Amino acid sequence: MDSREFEGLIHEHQAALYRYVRHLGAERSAAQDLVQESFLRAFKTAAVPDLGQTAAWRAWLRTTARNLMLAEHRRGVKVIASSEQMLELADAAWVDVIGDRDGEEHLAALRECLDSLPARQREAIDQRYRRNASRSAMASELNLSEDGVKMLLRRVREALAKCVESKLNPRAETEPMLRKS
Amino acid sequence: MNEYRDEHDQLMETLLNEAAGGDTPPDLAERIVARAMARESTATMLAPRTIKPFWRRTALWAAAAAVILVAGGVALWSGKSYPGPTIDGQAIIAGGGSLDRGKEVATATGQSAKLTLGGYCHIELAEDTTVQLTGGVKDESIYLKNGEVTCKVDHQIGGFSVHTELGDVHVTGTEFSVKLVDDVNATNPKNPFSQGENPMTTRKMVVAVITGTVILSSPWGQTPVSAGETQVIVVPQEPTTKPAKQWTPVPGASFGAFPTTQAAADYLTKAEELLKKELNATDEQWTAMQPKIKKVIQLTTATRGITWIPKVGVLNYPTEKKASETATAMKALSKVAGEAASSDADVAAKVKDVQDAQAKSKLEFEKAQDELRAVTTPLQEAKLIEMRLLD
Repeated sequence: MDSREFEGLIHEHQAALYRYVRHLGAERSAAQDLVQESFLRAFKTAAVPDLGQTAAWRAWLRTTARNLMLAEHRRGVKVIASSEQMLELADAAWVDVIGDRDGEEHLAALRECLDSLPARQREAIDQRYRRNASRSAMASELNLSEDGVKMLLRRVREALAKCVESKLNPRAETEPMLRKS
Repeated sequence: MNEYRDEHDQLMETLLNEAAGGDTPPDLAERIVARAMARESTATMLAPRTIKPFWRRTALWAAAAAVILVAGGVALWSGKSYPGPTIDGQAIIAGGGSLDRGKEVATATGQSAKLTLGGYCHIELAEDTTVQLTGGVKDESIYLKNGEVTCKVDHQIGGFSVHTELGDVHVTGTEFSVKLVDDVNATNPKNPFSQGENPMTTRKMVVAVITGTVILSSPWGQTPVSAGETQVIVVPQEPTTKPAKQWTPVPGASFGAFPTTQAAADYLTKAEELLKKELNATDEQWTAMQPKIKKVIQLTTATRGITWIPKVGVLNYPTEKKASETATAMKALSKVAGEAASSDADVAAKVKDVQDAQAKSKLEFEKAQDELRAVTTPLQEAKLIEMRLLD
């Protein structure tokens, strides 16, 4: 793989890989380093998928990044906030929901779903994810207890998950979570 | 199963963080490509050694340069604070300022100093010793130019290497010393440069291990050296009377006294060609870039010492003979600080002069870098950052 092909590969997969390691619990700077190191492994390793095998590349990069995280975790470096078991569960959830896609479809669907939220729920989501408000600040703003905020956010996220699933897979039952088709 | 589990909720949080605009995936392509190129250079330069002393010496210089390159940007994702270099004792930091990687540290006759790298490499510099700090995080190293160092490396923290023009010493946890000795009167009939009665210099590298084992790499291969053992590496040097016509510019070659002015000019031309190739610059781009690179390198040389460029070697442009304002101010400060009759006000005034000169120099350097950055493509900028010509 020459440098031009390598750069193309990075452009194609970096966002999905960053998204994946963030989902696994890596902090932002650690996530950037993990993405970088995963691609560097790809550059110097002979046993990689052929260029153009998008799904195979996504799986290869995810596996490499996850193994790097586990290796660092076992060395005592705090890359993930939770346990190895939680990391494996998070990986399983990614495979279950996103699979070998890159998550862009889910994001587009999620943005549409956000637009259709009731005003109070939309305000809660904005405060938490756009303005990074603390739970106590939100509680004061929304006239709820902190536990109430926690439950509200969880309910909204679950509703959004169902909305995304229905947009990506319109014929699916209403109950299922945002699972891949 | 159709249950909305915690890990699904975690995924939804990740997507919401991105959708709400708070955590957009960054574009890391240039950074990663630049890093891959740097690692490739390192791997090439640190490839298995041949039994050709002079060729090998070139590779050693290049390897040292590659280590410098890698040292600049490597950051572990641990997020922990990594100790920077510290020094205690009587030593001079080339170019003044703080003790940063890439800088040279020297002790004079009768002086000594203790250098600590990464908190785990403890290095004693004997008198008349010059080293350059070349390593990176948990992979510390120094380039020993002359003199002697005694090193103690704490176990199970990171690697440490001493590079010299004659060979390298690699360790992970031990205590040893490395000394370079010049014998100006030595003769060696097998030396192809001895040419009859010409005097020659033989430089020796003496490695003595106090505890543990080190791996000594030299033009003749690799060998372990254990506690209580001493190994001596000898490589004949060119005599100073070697005819100029035998001299050829070599990529990655060390920078020293050139036999003729033409030889220096040839070297510069060759090095510029290599740099242009490394930057993948068109003739038009190079025409715009060259004077700006020259300016940056001249200022780099003045403030940071010798400029190393991977695959290119040392690239130094002639500078004005007059001392820089910083050097002049520093000299005045040293003089005042060393005089018992100096008052605190005298010293404070000289300190301010040095600080003013350094601030002015920094501004000039940043301006030159900005001007260079303005005529480069993003990839060229990345390469120049890797070369330490741009910050």
